[in-house]
Amino acid sequence: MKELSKLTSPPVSRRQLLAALSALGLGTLLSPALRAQTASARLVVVGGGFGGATAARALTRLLPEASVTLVEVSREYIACPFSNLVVAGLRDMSAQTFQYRALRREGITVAHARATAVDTAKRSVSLDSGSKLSYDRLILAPGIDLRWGALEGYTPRAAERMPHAWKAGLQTMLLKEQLEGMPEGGTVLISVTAAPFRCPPGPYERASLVAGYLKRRNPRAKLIILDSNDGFSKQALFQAAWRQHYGTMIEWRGAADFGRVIRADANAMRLHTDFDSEVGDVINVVPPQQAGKIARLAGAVDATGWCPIDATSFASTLVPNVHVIGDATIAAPMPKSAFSANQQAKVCAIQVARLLSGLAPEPTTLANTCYSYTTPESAISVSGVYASTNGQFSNVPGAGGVSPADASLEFRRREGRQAADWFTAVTREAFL
Amino acid sequence: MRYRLALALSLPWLAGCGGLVQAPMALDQAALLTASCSGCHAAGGRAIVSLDGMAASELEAKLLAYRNDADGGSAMHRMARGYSDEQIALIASTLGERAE
Repeated sequence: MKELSKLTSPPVSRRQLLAALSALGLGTLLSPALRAQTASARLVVVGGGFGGATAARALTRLLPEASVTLVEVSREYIACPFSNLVVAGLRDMSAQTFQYRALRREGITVAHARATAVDTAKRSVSLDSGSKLSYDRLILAPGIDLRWGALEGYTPRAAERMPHAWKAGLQTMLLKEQLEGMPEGGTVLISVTAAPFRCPPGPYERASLVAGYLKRRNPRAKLIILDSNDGFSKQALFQAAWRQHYGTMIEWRGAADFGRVIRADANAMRLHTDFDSEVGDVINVVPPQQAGKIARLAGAVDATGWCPIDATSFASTLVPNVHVIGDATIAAPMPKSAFSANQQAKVCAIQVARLLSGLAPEPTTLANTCYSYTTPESAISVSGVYASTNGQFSNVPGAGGVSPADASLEFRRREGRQAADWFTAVTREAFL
Repeated sequence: MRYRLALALSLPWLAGCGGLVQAPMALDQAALLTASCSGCHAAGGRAIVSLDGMAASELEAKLLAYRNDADGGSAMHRMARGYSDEQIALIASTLGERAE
């Protein structure tokens, strides 16, 4: 496959590289020695989600003569964005499921194994298959791990009764089935952990779509959000949509109103807050989270549980020759979203290629838009534009913000269509 | 055999349209900036708005119109406000070129 890349790529890639270098007045850097260095580069990406899959593909396009290995334990990827539509019975799980065939066709080695250790001194990744992968640069895109027990009583066993559905898959189906089996006039509880967590508007989109389901199938039911936060993404827009579409069905209790859940009792189907407790017929817990385990094993995680990075290069500030992208990073004000991960992957790949080519990483501007459905057809969005200068992300002043409060139904429906088109485009770029 | 397969794979690149393979990326600021675009507007497929066939001048005018429309509420309006004249010109020339 590597030889095949050599045959296919030079017409474009070398010319592009040459153009890029000569534009910078660095054309002379493209010496045979440099070419040999980038050609023989060994690049390993751990994690095959929106970030990792996109990064592996971008690296292969940028450095067609390098060897790119993607390590991902699962043979299928089940996407989280749009999985709230599955929970609400509006979308089939097959529309969320992606394979890695297209990546293999492009010359990427996809290793379906679990990465068990990273030796940053020897620059190697150990796999549970017994093999070791040496790398020149390692990109970690491990997503999130749930912090079992960080919310008292919330264990893997408790999650079988009180699903999190915060990693898409069987948990998504479990929550959907529980909603379908809920007694008439029952109560749904959604507990939201303190920020930061994956997909900041996700719990509130879920509340919207679940309320829509209940309005159709179980109209006397009630949905209570017990929130460890005092406010949330697109709050005014969500709450206006809830009043408009679902009346008084959704009740939101913020931290100041004692909404913070401190203990989960799965046997009693009860959530305890600071001063009170609530019993639910269906209980969805969005639990405390941290960077995926391999990032911790690599030493790329700080006391917060997340990965500090240089925002320009996505290089870990803790370990050398390791870059981190996506939900695992500390990238605020960029959110933990698939949109961010996909884009960080492309920028990170360019910066890695620059480093391998003897060029310094270059600050740039990134953007993010997160759509959330408030009904099966209508969506609202939040956008941001971020500069990656001085090693940190910062909001570009005057840019970003949320959908207008007074928008027409047609505007909301247009954003609903844009959300669907975004999902199509971004999954195509990452997986298809 | 290998050569024939290689030729088949290289055609989409040369044609500049993505079947299996998307447009190649350079390592410069143009590539960095346009990384923000392709998640929604990748070449050769369904996108929120397809940029295929759009001239650089038309794309630049549209981006400037988004940025300068103070009343616009769409995601593109909100994002365009974060880019300078120079950045918009660079994005337009990069993605517009690709469409030719």
